[in-house]
Amino acid sequence: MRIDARKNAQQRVDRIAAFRSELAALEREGALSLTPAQRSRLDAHLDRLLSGFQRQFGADVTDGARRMSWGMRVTSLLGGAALMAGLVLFLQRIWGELPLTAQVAILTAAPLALLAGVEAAHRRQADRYYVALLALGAGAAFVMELGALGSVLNLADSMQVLLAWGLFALLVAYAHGLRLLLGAGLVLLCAYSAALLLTWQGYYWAEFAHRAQALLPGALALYCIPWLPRGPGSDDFRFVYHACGAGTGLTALLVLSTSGDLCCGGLRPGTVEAAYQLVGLLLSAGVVFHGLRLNRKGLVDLGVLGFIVFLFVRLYAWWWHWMPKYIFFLVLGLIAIGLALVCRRLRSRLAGGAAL
Amino acid sequence: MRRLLVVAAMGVVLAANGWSVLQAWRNRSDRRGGTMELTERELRVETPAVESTAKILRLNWNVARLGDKERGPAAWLDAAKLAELGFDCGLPLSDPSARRHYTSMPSRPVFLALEYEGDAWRKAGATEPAKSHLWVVDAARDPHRLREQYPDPQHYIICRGLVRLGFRDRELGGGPPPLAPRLQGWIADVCPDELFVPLPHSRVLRALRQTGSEGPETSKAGGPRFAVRVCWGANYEPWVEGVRRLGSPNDK
Repeated sequence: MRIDARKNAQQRVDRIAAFRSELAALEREGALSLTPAQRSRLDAHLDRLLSGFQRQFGADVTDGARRMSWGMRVTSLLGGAALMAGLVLFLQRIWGELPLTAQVAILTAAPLALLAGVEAAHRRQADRYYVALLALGAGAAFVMELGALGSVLNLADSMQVLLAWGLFALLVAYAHGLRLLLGAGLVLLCAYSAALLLTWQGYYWAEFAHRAQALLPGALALYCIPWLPRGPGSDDFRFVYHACGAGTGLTALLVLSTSGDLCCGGLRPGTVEAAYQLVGLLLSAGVVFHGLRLNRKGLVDLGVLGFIVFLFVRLYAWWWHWMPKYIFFLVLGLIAIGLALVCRRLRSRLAGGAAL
Repeated sequence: MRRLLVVAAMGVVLAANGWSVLQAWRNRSDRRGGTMELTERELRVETPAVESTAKILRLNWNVARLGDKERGPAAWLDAAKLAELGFDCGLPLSDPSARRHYTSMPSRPVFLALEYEGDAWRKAGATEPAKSHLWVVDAARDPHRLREQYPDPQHYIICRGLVRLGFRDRELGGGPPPLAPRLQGWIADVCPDELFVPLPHSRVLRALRQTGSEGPETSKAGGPRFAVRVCWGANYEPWVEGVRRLGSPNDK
């Protein structure tokens, strides 16, 4: 895929910059010295590579170019948001003057036009960031458009919008290799599965936060999809599936651990809450170890965050009401230091393993 | 492959929009939910958050309540009625986990019967001019049963709504627990409770002075300034069929 080629080109450019810097350091320390002929051959080769990457993929080959690229991206983001806001406000201004058919036509055309823009940007080999920005705009337009259409036609809320939004995000994400849109699509589809479960039980679909356990099957499915024989594609996409599954599942468990939902028969609410919190702690630790195994920093961070939150919630339930507050925070601080020591030990063990 | 995915995404947009239009068309093919002329008391003009020419009316309804007249539970939504609406009311109220069990229940979608200028309105004090004359009088899972019970579509609307269950074992404000805990029900919402007014009907509303959200009593004489003919269709969703200005408070 061209998007991957562009990413690989930028990574190669970054590696070349790091190599040149390290080579200079080694030469200064006297550990390595190249003959003038070797030096000029190497420089010519690297310069040829860099100019090729810059010409073919628009890669940033200098620090200045990289900084300018970031500036352009921020400016584009703000400009795009301002344009969208201007367009939405203009439509609101004339909305009451338009007949119903024109309103439906405009609402339908808006996400399609942005989608066409994404396609045009892709064909013109624009920077991936701009393709992603336009795709996000198309997703946002589709979300607003369906809401506005429901309002114009006086339709009751329907959970099918979650399915439509989720499918749209997933299709555009796979078409253009966009992780953020993939994550949004997966979370929307997970919410749709929870809404479906709630509807089967006769409840209002939008209140799945009251029945957070309805999110758990979808979250588990998301986490497990990368293990299917024909998985979700690239490594980046596998990570998004794991992260969305873990994030949604741990959030659902956190809600359950504070509201003590009674899915477990005659158990006392306090027991149920404690059970959810302990399960949350164990699963967070599991996510950390899985992230370490996959060498995915994002997954490790997510697991650590989940572990800390669940630990705090459990300690709060155990100690907050009877312990003097200063002792509570003292104990909390000591536990945090202990956890940091454990992490340090784990890190040195991992570093030792890598050195071997 | 990429082109196929993009075409599929466009297909999702077209399908979702087509489905919405189809549902609206199906809804408007039959007025089984009822047809009624409501006034500014029942349909308040919404003040847009940003400059907008769209006209939205918010349905303003009442229900006979226990205790607090603004936020109290519906008087007729007792435990038996809630069980009939599908809530699991099997757990004894004295059970230690009863509070958690009942308070963790989400709302249930139901069909509501709304009565216009009927007994509920008269009993509640028909003299209050600012109050809506539209009262929620019944709820059921089956709209046909409600229509059989309230057959007059000129005075009874059947529409969609949400019912929420509440568990009460103490007085409001954290007072001492009463002797017997009880289940209560609230009409959480009428769906949808906002009506978009299309052209040409919106022109009538645009001619009115914008009054903000202080309430429906906006004419100098204290009466409603406009009347809206609203229909509820085959999906029990509403649409505006006509708007007319009311000349004087006695016009309606």
